[in-house]
Amino acid sequence: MVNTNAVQAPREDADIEQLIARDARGDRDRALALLMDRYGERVYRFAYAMTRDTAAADDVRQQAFIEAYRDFGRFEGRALLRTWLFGIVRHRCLDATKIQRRWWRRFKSDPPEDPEAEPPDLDRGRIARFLMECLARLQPRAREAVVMRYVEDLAYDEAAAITGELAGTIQQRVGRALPVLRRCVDSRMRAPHRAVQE
Amino acid sequence: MRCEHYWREGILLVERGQLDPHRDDCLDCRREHEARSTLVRALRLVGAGTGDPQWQAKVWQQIGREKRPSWGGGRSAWFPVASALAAACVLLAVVQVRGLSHRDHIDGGIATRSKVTIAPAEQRRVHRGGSRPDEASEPTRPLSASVGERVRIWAAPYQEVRIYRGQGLIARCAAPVPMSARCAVSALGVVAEQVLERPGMYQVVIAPMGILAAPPSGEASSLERDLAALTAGGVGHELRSIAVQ
Repeated sequence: MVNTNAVQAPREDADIEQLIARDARGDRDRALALLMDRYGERVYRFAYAMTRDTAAADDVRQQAFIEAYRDFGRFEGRALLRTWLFGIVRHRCLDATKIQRRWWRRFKSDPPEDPEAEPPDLDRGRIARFLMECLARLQPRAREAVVMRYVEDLAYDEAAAITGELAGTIQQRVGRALPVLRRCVDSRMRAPHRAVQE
Repeated sequence: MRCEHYWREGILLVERGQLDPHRDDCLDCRREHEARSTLVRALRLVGAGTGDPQWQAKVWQQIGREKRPSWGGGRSAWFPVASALAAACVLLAVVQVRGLSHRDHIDGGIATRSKVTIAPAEQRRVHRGGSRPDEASEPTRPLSASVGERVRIWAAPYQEVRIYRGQGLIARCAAPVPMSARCAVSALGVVAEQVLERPGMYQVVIAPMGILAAPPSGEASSLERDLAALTAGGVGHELRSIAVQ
């Protein structure tokens, strides 16, 4: 059951939490429908930034919501519903990236380009592509920290609640990852220019 | 030589939300801070669209598959049988009192296919208690009807039924809707019933639950808008027309 006293901050998803707490089949269905409407796109964006693969991101999203539905009974309201959901998504992303790593190692190649991922705007698409490539080169924990903080715009406290680590640890990871990302993006932005000059 | 302070210590101060007095006096660090802000803005734009438009329907399908009874699962084998029987008895008692019999959609188990039938006006109430006429004796006719007759729709448990007169939505029936004389929902399926009160065209849409948005308050949902949403999402649905004279 939802412990409504555990968290003092205003609870954005109180409507869904009430449906979950009623623990009736129709209410759980309604709760899932609302949860998917509210967080479907964010979950997909998070999963895509973590996996850099549209098909994997779709799988992660579907699995995460199915798992959330199964586990509604375990949601106790200690964390925000969003935090709880992203905790599930994170685990599915880590599973997906593990599988990807094994696959890439086996075939000794870089992560493949995802042809569906290119946005139509050329400049924005180019920067976004470089960023995705550079994100993929970060260590999984560093990538996760950057994605939570700056792609998903989660506060450090919330990111820490999702990963079960200290907020300071996540801050440090972001602080170390950003210069690496910047160097990586810069080098890629300059690369075609050098080629033209040569 | 360029100042390296920003990427070594300054950025951590930024991430911690702390002030960095050094930055105010250092041109290099101010420039690097601007570069960081640009990077962060770009990160917020990272995304790859919205993914598979049918993802919600796939989630419901998977949940629907998992919800079908698995005899002898985690609890003792008789538990699901007993629960289902108890639920069915309670449901039957409630809906018969309210006028919509769940025998209508038990139909051998969980509804997996939708069905739309017209019942004559003289059978406005299903039989209460005792035996009920067989399905065969309740004529199922092509979808044209007379004023006063009823349309009855059977659907799977995870489907939503919407009934429109012309363009306007006149009834919805899906899992979160409390049971009424015109809408009964259970683990076995959804049964909706509507009296065809006026001549004209009625339309029935049966779609996966959770796909169609609830009509905005003070605004009627329209057939055109709902069909457009289903088509845009690539969601499989059923549309039946009923001409009422």
